[in-house]
Amino acid sequence: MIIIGNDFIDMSVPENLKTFSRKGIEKFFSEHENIIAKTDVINHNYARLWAMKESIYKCMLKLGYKHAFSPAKIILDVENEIKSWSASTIIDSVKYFALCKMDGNYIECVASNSKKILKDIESFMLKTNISISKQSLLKLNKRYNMKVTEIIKTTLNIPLALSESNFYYEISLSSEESLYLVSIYPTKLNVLECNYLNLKS
Amino acid sequence: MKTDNLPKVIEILSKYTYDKKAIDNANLKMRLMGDLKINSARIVDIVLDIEEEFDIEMDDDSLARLITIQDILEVIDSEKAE
Repeated sequence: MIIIGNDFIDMSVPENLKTFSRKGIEKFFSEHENIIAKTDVINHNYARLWAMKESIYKCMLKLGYKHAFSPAKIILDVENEIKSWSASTIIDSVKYFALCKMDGNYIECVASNSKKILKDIESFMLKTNISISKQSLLKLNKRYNMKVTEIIKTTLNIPLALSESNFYYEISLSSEESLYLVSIYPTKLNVLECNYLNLKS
Repeated sequence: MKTDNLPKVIEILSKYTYDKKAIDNANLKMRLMGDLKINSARIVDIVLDIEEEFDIEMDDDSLARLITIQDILEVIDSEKAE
């Protein structure tokens, strides 16, 4: 089963700058991650690592992980280039991959259990203070020529973009105040293979 | 589980939630992210504030338990008992 997760951090938000430069931030990261983060404080490396971990955590939830986000438990093997970072990790025998880029003040990250689809995941920002579902439907269908009929959330708050009978699209949402990062794998998947659909509330 | 620490925990959470109404009506079963609309990055602040306020240190396993307000109180209790 293909799954995706995403995360978005706006570094122009003063709280984020403060959070990721707090004394004690090291405890949420491995020794190696701390070394990477401290080599380049200006480029918000702690926030980038956090976003990759959060994206992977969203994938883990879809595969049945039932615990809260504990970033130090997700130890990243990071390849960092100036603009785009990639990372992988193995949790409970599943390998996850994450891609992270920084666009202005925005840190945008996507993750999946399939490395080959990472670059096919489409992401866009949505500015809204009303229902994410209605806005998303319109934008998604128009942008990717899809026919998403409904976006539901499971009891674990996992979004699912349903299409016509027996099909769905993998989707992930990340919000920062009234700004959303919507990420979608714009290929129809068989809903019968979606293990987390039965968690629908 | 003791609830003596609840007011201080609520005070810390109230600094980081988008949903001020929810925190006014907070109950032990409320989920930090789902119900209180706390951004995941604020977990850093909440954990560090709680550690400072209650003079405890939360390990990775404790963090993995922090889903509801009740979980925070239980972790504080268990860390203080050690």
